[in-house]
Amino acid sequence: MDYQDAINTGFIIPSANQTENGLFDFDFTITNNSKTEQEFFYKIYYQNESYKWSEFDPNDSSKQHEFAHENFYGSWEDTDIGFKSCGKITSGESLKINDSFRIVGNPRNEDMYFYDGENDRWKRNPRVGDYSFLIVVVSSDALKSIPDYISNIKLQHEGRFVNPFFYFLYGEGKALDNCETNFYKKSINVKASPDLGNGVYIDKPKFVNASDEDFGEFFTCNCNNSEDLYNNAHIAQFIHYIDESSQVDNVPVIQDFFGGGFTKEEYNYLRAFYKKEDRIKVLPQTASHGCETVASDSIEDKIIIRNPASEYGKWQKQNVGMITRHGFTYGKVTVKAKLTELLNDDNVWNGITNAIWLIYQGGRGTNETGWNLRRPCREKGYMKTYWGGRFDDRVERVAYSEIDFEILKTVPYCPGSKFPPVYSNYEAHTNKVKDWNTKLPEDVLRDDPNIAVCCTNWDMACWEPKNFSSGCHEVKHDGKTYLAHRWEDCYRAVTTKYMAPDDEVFGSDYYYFQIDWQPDKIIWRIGPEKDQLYEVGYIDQTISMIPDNQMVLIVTQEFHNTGWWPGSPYQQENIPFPAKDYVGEIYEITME
Amino acid sequence: MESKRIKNKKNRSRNKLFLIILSVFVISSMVIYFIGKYLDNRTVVSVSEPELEMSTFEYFIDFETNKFIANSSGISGKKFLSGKKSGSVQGKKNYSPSVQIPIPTSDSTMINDLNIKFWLNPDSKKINTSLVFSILDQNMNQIHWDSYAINMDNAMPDNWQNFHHSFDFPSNLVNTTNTIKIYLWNFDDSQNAIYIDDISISLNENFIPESPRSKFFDFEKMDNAKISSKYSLSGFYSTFAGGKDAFSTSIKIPMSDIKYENLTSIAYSFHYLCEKPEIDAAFVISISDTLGNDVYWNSTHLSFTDHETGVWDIGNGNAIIPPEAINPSNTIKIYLWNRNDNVVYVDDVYVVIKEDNSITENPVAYNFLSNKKFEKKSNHPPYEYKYISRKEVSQNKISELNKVFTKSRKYVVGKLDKSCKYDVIVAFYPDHTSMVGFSNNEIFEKTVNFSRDIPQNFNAFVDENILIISDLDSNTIYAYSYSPNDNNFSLSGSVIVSNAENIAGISSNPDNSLSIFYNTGNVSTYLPENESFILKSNNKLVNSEFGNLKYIKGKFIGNSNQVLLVYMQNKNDKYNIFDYNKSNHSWILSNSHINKSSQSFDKLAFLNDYYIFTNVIDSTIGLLQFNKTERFDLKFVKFNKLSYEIMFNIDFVGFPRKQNPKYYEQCKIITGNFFGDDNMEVIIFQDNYQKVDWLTQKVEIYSFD
Repeated sequence: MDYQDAINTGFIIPSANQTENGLFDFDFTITNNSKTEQEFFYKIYYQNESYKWSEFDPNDSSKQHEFAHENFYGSWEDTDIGFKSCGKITSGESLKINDSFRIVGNPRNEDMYFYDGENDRWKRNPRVGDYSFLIVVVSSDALKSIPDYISNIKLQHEGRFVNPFFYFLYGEGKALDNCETNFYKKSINVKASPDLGNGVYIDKPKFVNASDEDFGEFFTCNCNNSEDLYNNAHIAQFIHYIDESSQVDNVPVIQDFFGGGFTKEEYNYLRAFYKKEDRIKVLPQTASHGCETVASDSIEDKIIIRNPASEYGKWQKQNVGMITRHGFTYGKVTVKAKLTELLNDDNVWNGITNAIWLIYQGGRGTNETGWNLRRPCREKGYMKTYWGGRFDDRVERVAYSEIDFEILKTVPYCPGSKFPPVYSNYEAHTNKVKDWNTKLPEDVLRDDPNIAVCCTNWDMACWEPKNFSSGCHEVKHDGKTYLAHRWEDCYRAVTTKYMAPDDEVFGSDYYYFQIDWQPDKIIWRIGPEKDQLYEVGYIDQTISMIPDNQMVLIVTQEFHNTGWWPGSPYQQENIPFPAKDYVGEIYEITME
Repeated sequence: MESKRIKNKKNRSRNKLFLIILSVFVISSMVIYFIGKYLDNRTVVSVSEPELEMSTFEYFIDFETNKFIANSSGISGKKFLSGKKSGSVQGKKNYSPSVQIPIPTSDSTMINDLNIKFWLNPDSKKINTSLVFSILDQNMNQIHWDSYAINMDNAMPDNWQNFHHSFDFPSNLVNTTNTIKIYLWNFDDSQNAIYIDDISISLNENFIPESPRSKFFDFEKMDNAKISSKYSLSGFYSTFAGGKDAFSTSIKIPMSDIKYENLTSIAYSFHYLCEKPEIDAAFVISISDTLGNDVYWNSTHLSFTDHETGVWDIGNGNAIIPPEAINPSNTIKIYLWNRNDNVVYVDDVYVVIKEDNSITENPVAYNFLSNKKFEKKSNHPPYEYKYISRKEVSQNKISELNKVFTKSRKYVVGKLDKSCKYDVIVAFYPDHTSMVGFSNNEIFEKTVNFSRDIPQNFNAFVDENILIISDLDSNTIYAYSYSPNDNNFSLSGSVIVSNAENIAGISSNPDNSLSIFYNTGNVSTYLPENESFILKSNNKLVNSEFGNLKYIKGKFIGNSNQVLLVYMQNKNDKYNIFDYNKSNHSWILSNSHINKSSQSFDKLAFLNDYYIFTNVIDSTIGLLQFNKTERFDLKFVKFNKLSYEIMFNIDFVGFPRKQNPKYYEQCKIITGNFFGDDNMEVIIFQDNYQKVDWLTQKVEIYSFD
């Protein structure tokens, strides 16, 4: 996919840079086998094949699948162009038709994606993967039998769209006389990969300190809030929402975590001997200046993020990250990165959560809502908000969706099955080392060098999946068994965990992380090379509503309140502030 | 099976009694529950410190101390039923501070159940939490888990409500190696907190008394004519006052029974019942002196013309106690004064002693949420940390250095060899005396001789090049100077002093005089003459009490040596800096320091240990202040004209493996300029009272790089 101007126009396949005329040309020949002169009509449809629902209902192939209308299909971008005339062809004559088309966002020109009269095609970008084509040629008589909502894909039938691939290949159109369909399966493969060296756009209103005079003091030529980067940068600086509940009373110590010999004993010492009155109350911070903690390296085409070091008087546990600016629905999203190590030589956690996650895309400004809603939840509804608590209203549709890799130090098991995890008691006494220097439980020490790769789907507690449940349940896939955990019926997310060695995942030169987001399932994979990925998480539609709206990718290094991860053997409040930056580098992002 | 039958039989025989106790308890708990709703003011005082009745396996947790408390970060001062603190929990899946009590017996017949009574105060109407009871084994692995769910949608916000529950205690887990753990596990995902206080825990069937900071009176055990069984809210009895100006029985609480020092108010509630609809009565709290005169009187007036008769109603109030009424010999009296012809009954009086509520939650060292721009407060945490590095020295004779701390009777440090720039250690062993020092990164040790035998009972001091031995038996001090040629300390003079045991330090002064500082605050200055010393002055510098005085000499302000005395006076920590006045051979308060003994949040306290040290920043001299009471706490302190300033905390780097000196149970520190450069070093001996595999005994030298 060509990212040029895609922020405004959405992705166009092909772009003007990719073919001479910026279109796919096609041709075909029609032969009039009838005994009379006839006028014929044709239309081309395309559909994404990699990330689609079956066109027909598995229980009744004559009916359209309940979600087939969600498939990404289109035709000529002017949906008012129905079937084009080939002109009249005399009996026995043949006519070669030459035409062209291109794949664009919002191919049905749905009103919901318009804003202030403009068709924001980027709000429903073309999906990545394989595309098929369907060329339909009909006689004028047959054309009269084709419903308008098939000729004009903008139109709906009985309140919903009818997928022309269903209509012609499985539905009523299949039986039409004088209707010739030519289906070309997987003719084009589309991939996307943002250019990480193309700069970082600063979306100024997202910063708390945006009005400060020195806000731009870290701006560079390829990291700023200019119009040029607005149009061309594929990446923006991500600013976290900081939950007030994540405040901690932190030990007032600044430590070279990886070079300073911060050991389990030191952790225990800080935990035991630093009382509340010795501590510093902090919230995880966000960058006060654009570009201060993120950079785009145009030489090596990479993004660099860094949790900045603290200094006396400026204690900080700052969350940092990057976000892609172009949304997609579905795809195999693969990130090649070397994010900061989480465990030091003594396998103590530095308090960072490395996160690679997808989140629903927002609209123009902050007030535009309603265009990126998930499909309706037909059982109980979704929890209305991400933050609203267990008594939140339930609604039929929400925009919020999130698919996470969250990689941190926590326990491997579902909290529900062994909850609450118990760590050694301590009674701080300087004259009794054994009292304060307590050991972690054996089951936690077994995973001492490992970090938990937590794979989460935020389904907003929609009860529609047939096996929706709370607690801890086994999920089997490809010979692997995962424990999927949801705190309670109204909890908005379900998580599986996989323990992996920190030295390998974050200690090597790079590692791959892949979220394979499919319409009916999500598979999380990691690996040392792209062709050596292994599965670490799996959630499907039988247990969780899989998002179907457009999302963007975020890569972050975050300081969490460990209260969010019960059982974590190291509590954020006892982990020192960093004496050196925790640096993460993102080398490649692909959507396939 | 046999034992089970026996137990069942025993249980049957106890059932009747248990039911009575239970019914009394349930009724009283309900009463307390409702009463508690009225006791929502912040509490102020303790009746007495929480007591542990180990023999009866009963415990009371009021969060005023950290005893039995783990995860104390959840202790709050925002709300409290008694005292000034409570436990709190906020947010989903969070925990309150946990109560962890080692199981006091291995005899399973001694423990039946775990009965627990506690008070909760929610921020909102909703309570959705569980009280968790778990048992941990000796490795602190959880081996039992049970919970008591509390779900309420109609709780009274900001009111204390009483709850109780009985957990089964698995008899096979009754073992002194195991630990009970109790805490709240919150499920409410709002940001409303729940506070827990006054947890009464009993491991047997006899349920526990009330909080020592609260009193419950049900008139069941009062032998008094004003007790009636006609009506009672709980139990069988109540008190009453019938007829005009009649008084009920008085509840009397000697003020000495409570922590009267901090008493500011008494919150109370009571239940009353009238036989006629028109009530004119006063529920009185008074305080009387030893003569019986009321020095304080307060009442809640019950004045109704048409009150329902024969039913219990509730009254409450809060009596602000003036300071002048607070005296340990006074008595608090609580009674009902009836003022018409009605008969009014009173039962189930609940009293909570309240302390000054100006003290809120323990503040953090710095709150970045309220003050985003850091402003350093002088001598107040958080302090900057600076690290001193382990100095690499040859380990050839490290055992000699180790012996100084482990074998010697005394040791002193000083620049005793005039030919050298560096300090040495002189260690006195039972059979010999050694000089230990560093030369070219090697430790040297040599036996040194004295021209006179070292006394059996002695003390030693060094200043400048003079070594002082004080004979504690003869009250004689001997001054020696060292000759490297013959490796001998030769006696240069001696003098008899008043009390050698009281000597805090000895100063060798620029005029060759010797000043002997006593822990009484006195200083005597002598000038050498022949082989003796002539007393030139005798001053009382400070009034230290009980010999609580420390002497430190150094160039604290300016370039001249000064003496710093840190001492206790009237239970207060004091300090003064003195200069030597050559003209009259005496010590005077230094002009370079205001000498007001001004203290800050972190005090220059007598109980700390002090050592002279070099400030790495400007190479000036300051103090190392060492305190190991709370944790290993080593601070660098400098003086200025007005006061002192804690510059930074010190930690260590470069130690072998994980053996940070601060982890050790025992540390001995000496400081000096052992290498002759501009910096001073810390020699620190580290050992443990009990063997700790990963912390071996060692002695190391640290300094700023």
